[in-house]
Amino acid sequence: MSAGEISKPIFLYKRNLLLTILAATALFILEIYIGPGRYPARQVTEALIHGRGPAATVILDIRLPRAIGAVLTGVILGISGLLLQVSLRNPLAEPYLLGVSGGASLGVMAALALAPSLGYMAMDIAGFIGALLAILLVILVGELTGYNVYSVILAGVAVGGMSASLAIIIYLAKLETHQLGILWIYGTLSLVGWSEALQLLVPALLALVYLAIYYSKFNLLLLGDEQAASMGVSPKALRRGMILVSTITVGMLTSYTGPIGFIGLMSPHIARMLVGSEVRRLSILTIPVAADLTLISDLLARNILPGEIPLGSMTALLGVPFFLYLLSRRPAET
Amino acid sequence: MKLIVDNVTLKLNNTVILNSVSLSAEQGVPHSIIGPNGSGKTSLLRVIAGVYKPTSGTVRIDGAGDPESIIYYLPAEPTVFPGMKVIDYLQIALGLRGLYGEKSIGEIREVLAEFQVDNYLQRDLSTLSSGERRLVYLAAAAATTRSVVIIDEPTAHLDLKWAITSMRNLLRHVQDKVFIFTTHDVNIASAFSEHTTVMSDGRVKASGSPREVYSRELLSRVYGVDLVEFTGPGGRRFYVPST
Repeated sequence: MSAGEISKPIFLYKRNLLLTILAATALFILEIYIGPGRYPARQVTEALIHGRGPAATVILDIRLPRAIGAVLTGVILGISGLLLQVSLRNPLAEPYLLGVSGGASLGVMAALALAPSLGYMAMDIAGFIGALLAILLVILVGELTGYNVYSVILAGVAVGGMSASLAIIIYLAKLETHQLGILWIYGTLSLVGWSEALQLLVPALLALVYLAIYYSKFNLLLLGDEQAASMGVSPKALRRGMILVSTITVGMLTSYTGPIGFIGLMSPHIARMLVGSEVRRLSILTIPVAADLTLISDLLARNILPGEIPLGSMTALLGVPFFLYLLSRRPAET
Repeated sequence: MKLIVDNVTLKLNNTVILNSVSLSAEQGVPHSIIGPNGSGKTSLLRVIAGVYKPTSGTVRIDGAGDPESIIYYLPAEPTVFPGMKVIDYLQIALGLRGLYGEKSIGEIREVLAEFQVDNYLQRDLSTLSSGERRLVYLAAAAATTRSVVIIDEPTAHLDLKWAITSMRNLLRHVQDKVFIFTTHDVNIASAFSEHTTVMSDGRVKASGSPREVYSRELLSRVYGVDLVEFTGPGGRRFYVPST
């Protein structure tokens, strides 16, 4: 073991961080330049720089806020996945597989069925309440099984599945003409305009600030509860906070985008493969990786068919093979 | 510096786990805690480490500051996050933000070599054997800069060579510290501690230097088996089954 060999990770970390941020920047630009409108690059540039030309409305009012929305969605889902994985000691945890996203969309659907013209705030709260009820059910199963990795995930998938079914039933029964269309049911960024993108800043900043304040305690949690407790961390209280922040942010996000799965699963794992488990480096890298994955998925969702595919379906296409890989690789750890 | 457990009683779910336990562990005097299964050894360590709050009584450290920042506690079976690499564990456990930097690695590298964990720094902890994993945990405990080191079962999962080697390594690294460990191996306690506390049913049965405290009668009675005593180098006494 040489000092050079040991210091390699810090070099790799900085290089990986730079590469993922560059990738996010490139994908962000592609997200603006490529889309179903098929505007020539020259017109897109003209719209971006001078704010005029045939593409101006589409670029400035649709694609630009959507691209920003994609980044914020990635930030929220990536951090939420990380918080859930660390707090539940479960490498397979993420908001969609734990039923949080499904619960949130059911909450939003139920609220809209009662009052079809709800404001942002009311939708956010409905999403959060649905998300909270879902995670509480999953936590109950966790409490009863000693947080067995697979029991918790199965409970989450079941709760998410039930929520999705109820959401569809409510949608078909009462909301078929509502502006939240079938795309939203399966997760989409197509409804994110400027005001939605601005609203999404709230959960994204909440997630970032929470992470920045508490990451060193998350690190101790990785060592196990006893060691964490001996270093002055109360594992139970910390877990509750992490799950709550994850539930609030995903609840709010879902009211704008519908349920979007697997970004929260893949991002922390890819980041962990690149820089290891230490939470500061891990969480910093998780953010651009999540933005990359969301932008790639949205680019594909918008461009591979003549019509738009729901983003949630696209992330599932990418995420399910990844999930199966993780399942096949992990020994039965609980 | 001195760690003092003063008349600690611990009740969990209305069961008395520790009953008026007192002990005092001094800097530079390795302190072992022995006793049969369920005698309260681990609970006592948890109270000392601040994991459990005692129902009554106190734990204090004279001549030192905030316990949370000076105690290094290694549980018998840490439940580390699945999939964590050895190097990540070391970095997090030791709080070495600069572990990957050139400066601090020089200090810890020798410790890693002493426990031979330098060969598998990039391995996933869960893929190591329980003995190898134990050596990683012990290397971290040996390398800590914290001044009170508390280890539950340091030699669990280790073969004879590594049990002895690890204890020797540990003693060298904690020689200026308060060091308290539990063990199921009376002979490890006899060989590697200068002060011992014998527990049974949540109470202290005896306490003092192992040379004075350990006897065939006491240990046979506490453990409920017949033992034969041998006297080793330096007057340390060792025990084997009578048949």
